[in-house]
Amino acid sequence: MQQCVLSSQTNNIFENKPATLDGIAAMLNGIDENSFYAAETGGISLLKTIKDSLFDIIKTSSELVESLITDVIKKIDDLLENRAADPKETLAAIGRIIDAATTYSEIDLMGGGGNASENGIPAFATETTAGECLDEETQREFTGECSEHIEIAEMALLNLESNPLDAESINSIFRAFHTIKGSSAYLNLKLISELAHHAESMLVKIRDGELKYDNHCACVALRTIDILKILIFSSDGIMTDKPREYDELINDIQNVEFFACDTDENKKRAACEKSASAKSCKNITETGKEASVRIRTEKLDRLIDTVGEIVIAHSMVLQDQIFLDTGCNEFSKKITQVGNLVRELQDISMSMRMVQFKSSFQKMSRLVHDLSQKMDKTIEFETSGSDTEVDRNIVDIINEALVHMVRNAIDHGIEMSAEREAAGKPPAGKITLSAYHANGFVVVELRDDGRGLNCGKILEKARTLGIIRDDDDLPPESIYNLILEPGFSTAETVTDISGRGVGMDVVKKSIETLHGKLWIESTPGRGCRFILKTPLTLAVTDGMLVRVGKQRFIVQTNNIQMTFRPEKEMIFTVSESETAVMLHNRAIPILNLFKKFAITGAIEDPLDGIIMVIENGASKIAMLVDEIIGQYQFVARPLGGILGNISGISGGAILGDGKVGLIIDPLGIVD
Amino acid sequence: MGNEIVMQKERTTSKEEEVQSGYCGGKFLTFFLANKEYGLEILKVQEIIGILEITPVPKTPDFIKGVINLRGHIIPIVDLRLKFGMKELEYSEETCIIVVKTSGIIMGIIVDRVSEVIDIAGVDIEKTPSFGVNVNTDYILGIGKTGGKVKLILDIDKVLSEEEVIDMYKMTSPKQNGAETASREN
Repeated sequence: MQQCVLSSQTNNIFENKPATLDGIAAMLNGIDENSFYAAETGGISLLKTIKDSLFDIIKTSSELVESLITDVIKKIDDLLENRAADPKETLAAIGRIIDAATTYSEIDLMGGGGNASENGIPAFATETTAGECLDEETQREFTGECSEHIEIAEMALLNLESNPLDAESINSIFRAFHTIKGSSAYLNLKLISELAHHAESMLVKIRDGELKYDNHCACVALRTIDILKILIFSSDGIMTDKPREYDELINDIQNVEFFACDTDENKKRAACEKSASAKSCKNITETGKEASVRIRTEKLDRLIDTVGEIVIAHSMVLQDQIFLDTGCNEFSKKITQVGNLVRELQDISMSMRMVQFKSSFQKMSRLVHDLSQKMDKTIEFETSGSDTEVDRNIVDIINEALVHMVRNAIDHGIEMSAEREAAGKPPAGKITLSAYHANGFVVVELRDDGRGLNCGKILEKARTLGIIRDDDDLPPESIYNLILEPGFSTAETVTDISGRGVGMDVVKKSIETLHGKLWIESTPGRGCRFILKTPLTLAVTDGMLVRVGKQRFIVQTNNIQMTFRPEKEMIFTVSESETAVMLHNRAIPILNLFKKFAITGAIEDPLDGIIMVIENGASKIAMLVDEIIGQYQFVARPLGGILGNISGISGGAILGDGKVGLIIDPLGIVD
Repeated sequence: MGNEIVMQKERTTSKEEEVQSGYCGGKFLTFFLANKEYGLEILKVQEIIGILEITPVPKTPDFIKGVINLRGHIIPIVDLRLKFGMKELEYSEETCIIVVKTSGIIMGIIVDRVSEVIDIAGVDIEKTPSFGVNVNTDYILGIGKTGGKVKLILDIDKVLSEEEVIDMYKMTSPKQNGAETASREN
């Protein structure tokens, strides 16, 4: 049956000589290696066809691919002339080289705009040291590609931990290392390719069952990933010097191999499977290419900015006096139509920047793995909602906060197994990380089943640090919030994991940048829960445009609790310069913007103006403004360079009339 | 590839010149400030625009006039007269904003009037003489001589450097606070 198919294929191929390396690879697969020299399989004639087409392909290839193809032609000649010692092995080798050549020529196509031999990377034309001769674009592409593969490998490695026999995980790690090896070898980045190569060899052994995947293996593999990260993502481009632990790691990888039996038989089997898996790897990248295009975030940000400007420009047209005066019906219909399209465009561009929490959660799972080993605690880590989408910039900031929250949970929250058992809890601690959408916000929740927060200890520490007074009586929520204060830590000793009191301060800062909120819940002995709520995007924000004197300011809507015109009996004087407004039996201090910003010609009597109650963390403040001009959607921008750090002003936005309005920072305005 | 080599060559020669004369010659944009002519390296100039309405930014030193919208980008504007401690002049038709790019930061500087673009060779630039204690020559890169006239060449990076601005802010803020308390008393 198989032979029948083969011969029909053979006929086909005689007519159409394959023009691509892919075609050749397919044809090679068709050759039955066992009965290669038997005339009826047509193996010999197939090889001749392959040789012919290789001569064609060589003309349009880059030097590296060319050298690979020459090698293949030599091997084919050996086969044709019966010189090959082991035809089976030679055929397999040809398959591997063709695969490699395919990968490289694909990179050529990406990097060199289709004409690799002329425009391709000059690194290969001349023998130069790696790295420095790479042009920026290629380097970026390489790091982009690697980061994806490293992420996949890392995820699979962690997956293997709970399920050591999962063949798919091993394969995906293998594919990742293999691709990294291929592209780094192509770019002449020897350190990376060598490391990936060693890791790959180790994985082959694991996959073939020669080596048991144990903790030691896992550690070595994760360390490999770390070193790869260092090599690839170092701040000044791709590293070409050996990082500190490089040699030690290579040594360890080889030692892992050392324990395995290393017979020729096994080697061959590994080699065959390697070429097979290389093929499947290629297929995956191909399908991936169809589905998505990799875009630099910088470009995407520019697109979103421009769309934001279009929205503003559109509203400028709407507010134009000429347009308002004429009031032409037809014209206004058209403008409205444009408006709808613009809004749609805005939605699409926003969605383009949305990413899932997957990689962020994965990083946390790696962190839990590393830390739990270091601290000798057994911890189960569970995630849910990793496919929740959120603006890319937000993920980065949340990530930073999560790292500290997870560290804290492991170090302070989860107890040692013995202590847990004594308390009647399962010996393994549990940390749950989940994300979901709620009312236009993203909520990220971190829960642990550790000992919970110790109110007494926190209060004691806060008093020694002078954050609160001895006689302050705080509700539990406010006590929990104390742990967010900079320099606050109840840990007795400072370890390299936590205790310096910096971590939760970072969390607080992150949440401030996100205009988000954090709730802390805790049950002593049962664990605690951190709930982080942030807006979906930072790009376009809703705000109120207010006027003070002749100046206009923007206040973010989610900071505003309420606005009202005060009655005479609500206002009372606290001191010579301070006034407050009574609201629901609570005195809220009045902040006079005109005074704060030294604006002349503004309303100074609260009774003539409008009071805007702004939430500033736990406390509230009442801001006095002349007038609320209206609701407004804006794109927040930095004020640029030297004006970055003005307390009370978080940035600017371009208003409907093309002028700049300043955005009031409710946290910074009181200092 | 070839282009890069040529460019590198150019760079080295200009550096040699620099070593010889102490300064780097080239094209300069000249402008007037209180009847004195100043020069600015043309490579740092992004564009020149007429004066337009500036949004004041509170709590900044007075030489920072505020921010403008430059085609969707918000850029700070510095009044060079105030920055150099000269008297403020009412803006007229001739008043210009020179948009400069220094170390990645885009800013606008207000000058009385823009004059021309001239070539000054490195050898025609002299070291800044000392004017005595009252004149701060930190911002002056050198003195260029062309056509029998003298032009002060500004070190714009220094004029607009961030530390400088923050320092000035610290210097001016007590004054501002004073003004605030004064208004409170009123």
